[in-house]
Amino acid sequence: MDKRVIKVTVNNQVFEREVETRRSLGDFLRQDLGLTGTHIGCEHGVCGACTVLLNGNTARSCLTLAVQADGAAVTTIEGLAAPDGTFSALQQAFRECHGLQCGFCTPGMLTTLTELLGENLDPTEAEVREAITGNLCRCTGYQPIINAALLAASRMRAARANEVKA
Amino acid sequence: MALIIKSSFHADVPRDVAWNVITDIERSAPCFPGAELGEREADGTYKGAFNVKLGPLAFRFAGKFGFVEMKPEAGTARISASGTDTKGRGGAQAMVDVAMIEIDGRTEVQIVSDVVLSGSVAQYGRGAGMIQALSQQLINQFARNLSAVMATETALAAPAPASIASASAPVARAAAAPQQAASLNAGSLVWLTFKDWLRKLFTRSGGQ
Amino acid sequence: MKPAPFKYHSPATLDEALELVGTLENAKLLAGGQSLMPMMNFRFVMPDHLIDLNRVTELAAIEQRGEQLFFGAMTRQHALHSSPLVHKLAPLVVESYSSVSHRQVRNRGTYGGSLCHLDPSSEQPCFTAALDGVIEVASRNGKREIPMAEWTAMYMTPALAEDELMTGARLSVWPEGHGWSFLEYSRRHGDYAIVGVAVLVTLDDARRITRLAISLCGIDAAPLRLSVAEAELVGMTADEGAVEHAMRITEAIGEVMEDAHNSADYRRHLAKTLTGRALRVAFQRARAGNK
Repeated sequence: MDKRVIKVTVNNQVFEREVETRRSLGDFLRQDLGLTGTHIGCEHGVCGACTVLLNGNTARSCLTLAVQADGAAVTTIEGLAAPDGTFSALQQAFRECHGLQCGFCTPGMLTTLTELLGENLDPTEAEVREAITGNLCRCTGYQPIINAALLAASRMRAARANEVKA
Repeated sequence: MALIIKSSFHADVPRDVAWNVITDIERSAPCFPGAELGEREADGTYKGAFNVKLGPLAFRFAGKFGFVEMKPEAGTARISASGTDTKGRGGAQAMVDVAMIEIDGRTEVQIVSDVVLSGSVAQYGRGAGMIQALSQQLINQFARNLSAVMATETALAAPAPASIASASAPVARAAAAPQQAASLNAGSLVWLTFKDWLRKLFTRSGGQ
Repeated sequence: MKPAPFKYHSPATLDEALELVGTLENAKLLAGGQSLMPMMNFRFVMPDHLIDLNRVTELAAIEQRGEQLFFGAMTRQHALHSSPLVHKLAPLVVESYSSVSHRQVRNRGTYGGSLCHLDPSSEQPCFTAALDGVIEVASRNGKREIPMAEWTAMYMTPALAEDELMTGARLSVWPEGHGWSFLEYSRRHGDYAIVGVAVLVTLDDARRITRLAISLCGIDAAPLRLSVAEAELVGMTADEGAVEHAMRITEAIGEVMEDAHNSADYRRHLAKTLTGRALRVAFQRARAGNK
């Protein structure tokens, strides 16, 4: 068995583990670290349920080897809320807009939309739709997810405007 | 998935020379790109393997092949070949009909292969189109290699003495092939596979 | 659905990578992994060795080199999609990336990975052909270049020797004000194209076509340049007549691949329709560029 020791920072916490080199990042997060918020759907990169942020950029954790995350910073769904548990604006908006039903696609949706809003705080509806084309949802029909993203964006814009004033 | 692949070539040798080469498995089998000749079984069939790449997939079909029919007067022969992928991705079975027609001291060799693929290998390649194209290329290369070996028939000296051990005999024959092989299409991937087979053949003779 | 075991290598320099490529048997190079890892997860591909190029940072680059634009093989697709330099010098490339899969895939996927995977439906080889790309490759023994027209050895197999890897490609920069368009048709946005077209055009002051490139993906193993249409349209006025002429030529393409989902005739129909639409857009952009 080909193994390596890797050191990965996940949600601001450093983990050092020995892994088989063929272990996917998704399986590492779920099996080795117990962070089961990241879901495994298709294991070939089309459903988006396994999406995490790798050094701030979305990545399919089913197509990334754990060894490739050695020295990197990973953010999963478990890392989106504040340390005291307060939801991010996106998470709060998802809750209010019913942006989830079964919740299977949700971690991937949230990491993907976190990336979008991190780059563009005023996306159009078309831009939100474009951003989530790589995330499949079987429950909601997507509209509540889009509503949540737009609501979160407007709140984040307002918060930023308040910060600027202050 | 079933495929029919046809190819033909002209050899500048009389039919009986062409017949001798084709029906001599130890000379004709190595002409198939990626083919590895194994031991001869008691019933006259041979164990063998066939290596082929379809894009990023590298298959190795291991199995056996042999002549199921030979009609020297008519100049026709039928070869049966079957194998399964050593990594479990499927299987291949082929029935190859060879017909040799002599015209003015030269021979036209027609090859019709009826190939059936099963398992993952049949599903890969988004349908039959690409596999058909690859198979056609392989059969065409087989034809070119056979033609080259037939052309060396007249160049070879007296037949190898019976005292030479069977392990070295293929080497002696293959030694003639590289000069002919140089004239094969150097640009094709299949040529690279054939070169690789030649290289392995020389190292194999040293005792595996 | 996990990969079969392999030995993992993670070279830090190009020289180390070339040494591995030159010595290991049954090895695959890992670039972005967005095409290779699915195949490995399915166990279609089972290499004994995996050579991860992600730490060879020298292979990622976007540079203007005179009249050419150089992309390093390990450049991330998203970097190209969002590059101001590429937007300025090769807007065709930027437009093409909007049709390449999804953002998550483009974040990791690389230009070189796509060129070497060489899926017939892939957009990146298509625009590379339109831009007369020259692929640079290296081995332990040196470097060489392969024009895009000679890059496809056969289905999903580039003309790379076993001990070579692609280091980058140079694309021609078309003059400022040129027209461009990339269009494709697929069942869902982000899927591989069934057929895709890349068009580049320059017009003179009288709106006559002075230079034209039309490249199709989803037709054959290699991207197809419609050189007959290109040659015949040069000199014609960039109007509906030229568009229809090109569409008639496109409709008559001989060798067209087909599969269980899309017949050759359907692909030909898509090629004809998309070529027409792409030409109209490219002409319009060229007219705007000339003002």
